[in-house]
Formats: sequence, C-alpha cells, structure tokens
Amino acid sequence: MRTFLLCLMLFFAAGCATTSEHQPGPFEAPVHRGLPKDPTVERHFQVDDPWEGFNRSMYHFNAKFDRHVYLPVVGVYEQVLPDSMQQGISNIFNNLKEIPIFVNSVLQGKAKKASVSLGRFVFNTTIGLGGIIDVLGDGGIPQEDEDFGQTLGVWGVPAGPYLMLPVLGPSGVRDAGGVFTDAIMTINPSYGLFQDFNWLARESASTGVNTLKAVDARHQVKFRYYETGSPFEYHLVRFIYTKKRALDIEK
Amino acid sequence: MHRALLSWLLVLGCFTTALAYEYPFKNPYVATVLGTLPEDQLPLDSVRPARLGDLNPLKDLGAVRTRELLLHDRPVPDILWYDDTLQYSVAMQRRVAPLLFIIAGTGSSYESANCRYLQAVFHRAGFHVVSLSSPTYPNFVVSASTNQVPGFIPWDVADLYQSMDAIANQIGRERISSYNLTGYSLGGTQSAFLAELDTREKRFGFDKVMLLNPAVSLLTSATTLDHLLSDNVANRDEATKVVANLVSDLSEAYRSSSEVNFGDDFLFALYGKRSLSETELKILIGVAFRMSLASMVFASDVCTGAGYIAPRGHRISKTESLSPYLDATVGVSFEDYVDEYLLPFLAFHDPEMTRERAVAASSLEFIAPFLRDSGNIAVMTNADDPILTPEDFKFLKSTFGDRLRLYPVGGHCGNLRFRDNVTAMLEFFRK
Repeated sequence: MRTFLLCLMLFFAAGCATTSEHQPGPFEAPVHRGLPKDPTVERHFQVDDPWEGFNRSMYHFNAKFDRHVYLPVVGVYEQVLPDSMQQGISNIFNNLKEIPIFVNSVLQGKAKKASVSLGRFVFNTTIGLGGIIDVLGDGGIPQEDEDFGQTLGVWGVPAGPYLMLPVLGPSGVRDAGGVFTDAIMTINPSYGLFQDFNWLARESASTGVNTLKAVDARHQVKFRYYETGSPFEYHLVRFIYTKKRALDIEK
Repeated sequence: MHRALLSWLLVLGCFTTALAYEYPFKNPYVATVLGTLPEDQLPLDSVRPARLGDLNPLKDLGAVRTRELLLHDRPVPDILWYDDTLQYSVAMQRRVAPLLFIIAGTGSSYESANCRYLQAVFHRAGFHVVSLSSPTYPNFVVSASTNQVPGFIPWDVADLYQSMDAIANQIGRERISSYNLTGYSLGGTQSAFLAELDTREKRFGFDKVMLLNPAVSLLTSATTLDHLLSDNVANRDEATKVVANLVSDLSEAYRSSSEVNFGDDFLFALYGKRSLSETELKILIGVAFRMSLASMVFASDVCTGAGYIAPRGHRISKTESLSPYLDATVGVSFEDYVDEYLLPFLAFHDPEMTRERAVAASSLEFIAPFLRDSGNIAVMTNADDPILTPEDFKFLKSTFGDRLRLYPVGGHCGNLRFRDNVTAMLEFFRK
C-alpha cells in the first residue's frame, strides 16, 4: 500500500511538471470577443467551487492515471476473465455494500429501503452463494443507493465545497467524509477466510482482495474522462454530480 | 405513453396498406430530439441470426475497439493534452471483407449513438466498420486537422481523407476487399466531397456511398440551426431559463421515480410524463447546437492562439478556471464564427478568398456535375428535415433523381435507426 501511494505521488509530480511547448500561430483574429468583465457574476448551472485550482489539477491527474494505469489494468481484467465471472465478482462486492446501505437506510429512517437491503443481503448471501448471484436483483429488486454522505445530508449537514478526490473522482467535503465511513462498514471477505493463517498470508490475501475490489470498482463505472469531447467537461461533470447528489438525498 | 401510442399505431396498421411508413413521430422537431425508440430499431438478429462465432472468447477479435492514431507530430496545448491522437473505433471481420467508413454529424464523435448503432448493424452484415468523428469534434480539430480551424469543407474533407488513408493502412489494406462510405448530417455532405476527392487522389475507389440527411449548403443549414435559438428567445437569459426549466423537470422525474435512472432512455421517460412544446423543442435543438459549437470554437481558438476567445499570448494553465471562457464562447453563433474567425483565417492563408467563394465551396452544388454522374452515390433524407430549404430539396431531386430516397417524416436524422431506413441502407450496400 505504501509503495502504491509513493508511486501515485511520483506519478502526480511527473504529471504536474510537464508543460506543453505549444505556441500561438501567425494568425490573429480581427475580433476579440473578450472575457466577461465581472467573473463573479451569478450564472445558472454554476456550482460553488472555491478549490477549483486544486480540483482541476486533480481532474487532470485522475484522467492521466486512468489512461496510463487504471484503465489498462481493467482492460486486461476484462479481456482475460469471462463476462459471467466478472459479473460474479461485481455481485460479491456489491453484496458486501448492502451492510452500509442497510445501516444508512436505518439512520435515515427509511424503513422500506432498509428492509429491501436486509432482504437482499440475506437471500443473496445464502441462496446466491455468498453473493456471487444477485438473486433478488435478477428478480426485479435492484440495489438501493444509500451512503453515509446522503445520511449526513438528510441530517442537515451542508454539502460543503466541491472536491475532486484522487482516483475516486468527483465528490464534496461532506461526501468524502461519508466515503471513509462507508469503507469502515464494508467487510473485507479475506479476514474471515484467512484468520487462521499467519500474518503474511493474511496481509497478502487482504491486499489481493483490495486490488480486485479496486479493479472491479472501475470496471463497474462507465464514466471515462474526456469522453464528452468538450473542453468544458469539468463544468458539466461538476454540475451533474452536485445536482444528482442533491436529488439523491431527497429521494 | 409510447407503448399505448405504438399499439394504437399497430392496430391502425392492420387497416392501412402494408407499405405504410410507420415511423411514430410526425412532428419533425420531436423526431429530431427523440430519434428512434429501441423497439422500432432493426434488431441485429434480423440482419443475420447470431452464430456461435459471435460469442467470442477472445473479445478482441471482431468486437468494437477504440484505436488511436498520431497524425501530426506537433505540441498540443496544455489543457487539451488528452487530444494528442485521433481516436476512432473499428469493428473487424476475421476474414477479408468490404470496409464501411461512417462519418459522424456536426460536433459528434465516433461514439455517438448513431455511429454505434450503424457500426453494430453493418458489422453483423459482414462489413469491417470504421467510425470517425466529425471534423467539427474537438478531438479531430486538435489531433487530425491540418489548420485546426474547422468549417471550410474542402479543408475538412482533405483532413478526413488523410485520416481515412492512415486508418486503412493501420488496420491493413490486405484485409479489405472494397471501400464504402456513409455519413449523417454534415458527415453526409462530407462523404459526397470525399467521393469527389477520391476520383482525383484514387486511394480508395469507393464502391458505394450513401449520404444520410446531408446538409446541401453548410452555411444555410447551420444558420437555420442558429435561428432555432435566436427566433425563439429574446436573449441569452431567456434561453438559460428554458433550459433550467427543463433540467428542473428532468430532476423532478428522477427524484419522484425509483425506476428512472440517468441513461439512454431518460429523455423518453421524461417525454412520457410531460410533453414538450414545439418552441421548447426548437430551443433545445438550438442550445444543443450552440453547445457543441462552443466546444469546437474554443478548442480551435486555443490551438491557433488567434486571440478570438482567449487573450492572444495567454497560455491557459491546467488549474485555471474555464468559466469565463465558457461564458464568452457560448455567445458565439455559427454566423459569428464564420464572419469573425473562419473567413479572416481563410483570407489570411489565401488573400483571394471571399465570403462568396468560401460559402460556395462548402455546398454540394459545387460538385453537382460529379454527383449527377455518379451512379454509386445515393441520398436518404426526409421531406420534413428542418435543416433543408425548398431550394435544397429541388437541388437534391434534380441532381440525384431516383437515387434520392425521401421519407415523408423523420425530422433531422430522427429516423436514422428506424427499421425501414436501416433495411434500405443494408439493401443499398449489399447489392
């Protein structure tokens, strides 16, 4: 894990250091549209983003990390494993997410969502062979979407500034806190299976599971950086993320 | 709502002749925005039933892949670093087969829904299929365009031609038995010019070419799209309000329903709940056009460093907020772009260039004799396509004669994925 972080930092430093040698061409436009005089003017679809400089460099970093490290690894994973096996792995990790989903539904007083989540966990863990098969999902009861960031939102905690997290992507101060709380509530299945082994075996098993989890997580997310093609993609992502989170909390 | 409408149409269909054209949206603006419902598309299995070979253990072979091509070895501006190579997608057959190039429409990429669908259909029909982004798409502007100023068709087509040649070499010309070409919207117009260019350059020798909902004159059609916005809203604030209103309705639909999720059929779901007025639809199309124009204009301006949007000589850093640039760019209409940026740029490179000459060279009428004599080029479009004027229809009819297939409804590209249309396309390319 420590080496991984070190690599990540080196990579980040390398990504920041490069500046292009691009130079303007000989042609100068006769008309200069000019930038708006007052940049603080209130705009529709604008999201409060006091840390925009940091967030933008993190956005570039994530895109580079995706392009050079994350997606190539996920690509190999998708090539090598049959679809059914990839689906099974996704199902196992999604099933483990039912624990934080259940807890958060309870904390928000959403009885229906809590019972759906509990039912899914019980049936999928037993009949679904430890979560490999999403029995209830296939039967038309999909996973609910609840997390601790939403719970805090329901409790009245404001979203706080928009924040790009390394590797994980768009978030906010409140939601970033939620991510860590949810991670604590999620069990690493290797702990139970390898508890009788020595330290080295336990550690390597847990690292292996975490790596697989990270690969599966990217495999499940369809978003690709710069896929919209627009130079203004950052704005679009920021708007949609913020809007969707606000709606999810009301949901 | 759709299903109700559809079954009603089916019942109606029993009483009318079997040859009736059953595309469901009779209003051209509804058709343009909503396109073709999944159940009205031609199923892949009716192109050719699935075979064991389609279940591919090594997904690499035969399936759609995105590939990259470095065409110009030149520095790319910092904020556009990710567009250093041209991206395109390819679906290959495992044996020697005919190749079909698909050129996307204005501001669209090789991954647009229309490209993906046509690629799947023609791959199933036995073609190698290459999808290319429009020369107006930022990735193409940055990576493949020689001058990085899009909108002048002879230049854009020359860049497309170079890219297609490099792509054919990259995938291996020995695997290709013949070359075919199609494109929709502006991509259709460009396909015609590509076919003409090829008679002089002779690197492909196209077997069949089909233009889908082409613009006859780029300037006329783009101005029509400009006017959908300017004729229906008094100012920018009003346009923003209409869009904000729509976003809030979309939000409400998302919030109040457990099934609706952001995805391909999200607009359909909304349409079922709330009907959009014709004015709203026009504004929506106008705004979408303006937004894709903004991406193109800004990408081009950053590449040339001409000072049109960003101050000349200012290097935009990766951490700088682009909000002021976005604000300045969305104010640019296509006509503004042509008069304030494209034409001066053309005149800078060729002092004899005039507005009349540039506009004429970007119209199909410029190559009318060639199109009249080329039996292998066909056109498919709709009588209610909002980007065409009555003169455009007259031109298409007189130039293409019975090679013009005109559907009564469908708007602009709305019926591109409708089963009758796709069947006709397959017939044309397979013959």
